[in-house]
Amino acid sequence: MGRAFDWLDKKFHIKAPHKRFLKRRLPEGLSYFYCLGGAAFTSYVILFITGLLLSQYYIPSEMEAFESIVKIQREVHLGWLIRGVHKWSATLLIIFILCHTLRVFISRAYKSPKELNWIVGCLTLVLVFASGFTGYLLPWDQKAYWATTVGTSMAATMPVAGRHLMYLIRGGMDVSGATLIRFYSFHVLWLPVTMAALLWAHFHMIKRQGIKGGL
Amino acid sequence: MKEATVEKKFYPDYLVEILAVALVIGMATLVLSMSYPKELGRRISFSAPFSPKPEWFFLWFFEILKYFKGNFAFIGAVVLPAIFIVTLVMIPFIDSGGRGRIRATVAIGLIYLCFIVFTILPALDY
Repeated sequence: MGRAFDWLDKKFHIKAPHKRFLKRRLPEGLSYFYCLGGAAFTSYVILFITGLLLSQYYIPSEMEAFESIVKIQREVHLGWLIRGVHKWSATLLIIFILCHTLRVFISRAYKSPKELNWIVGCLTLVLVFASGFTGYLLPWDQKAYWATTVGTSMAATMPVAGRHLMYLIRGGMDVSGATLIRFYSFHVLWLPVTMAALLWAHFHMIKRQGIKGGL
Repeated sequence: MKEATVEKKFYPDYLVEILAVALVIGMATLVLSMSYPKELGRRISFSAPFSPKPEWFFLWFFEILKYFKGNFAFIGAVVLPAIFIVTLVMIPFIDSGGRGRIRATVAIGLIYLCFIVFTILPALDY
């Protein structure tokens, strides 16, 4: 690393503590199945970047959401591709996470002291599904509207607090512009930020506890 | 295999492999997106009849709902998904003691089986 990096390192002091981490030996017997978590993270990063790009053109309002998607699809340079990549990464992310979970289960890597890391992973999985659910409404088309109407109506089946819960999720009696902005906020702020925090914890614990056994 | 016995370090050996995998995934995503681009949906209409179809990874949920009607909808909509999530989270604690691993395997197996079967079932209908 050149002089510029050294200058930065004097301020942040990141090189020395990470040297041991970077040069650490890896346990034997790792196969490509151990890449599935990294594969999921790759898809997360792609989703993050394409999401940043889409947010430059998407308008989360009842009147303009659909039009802005049409614009992204037809007018914005490579907009159709960015949107496609966002959607396909979401599909791949789900597949990778499910396979990664299965790999961790098979190699029994959830045993003590890694219970908490397993739990953090499960919470991330739940948040990924929540992201898929909230993201599905954003195009504000026929499919999105009715799938969300059915999906959110499920909250109302709960005894006692059901209807109140549905009202809270929709921001009103029906799926409307209020629901759209609510889901948009969850999809681009709450969920990605929470997921980033969970992933930091996930990776930090792997670093401390090792991939297989302790390091 | 001689290579397998050679000691590997995170940097640079493993990092190169990770980056190679990331590159392949990036390429695969790009190829998929160009071969099967995302289509534009139809504008929302309150008069046209429409049967809602969720994203593929929620097909299992919509399918399970069909088996619980009326007052029992609550079980399919809230109780079952909650049981799935709690079981998944509790796996490290289910796998403790003598037959723990078997119990955990059955639990994970059932959850994955549900997901796969109820995702494929509605796909056969369309």
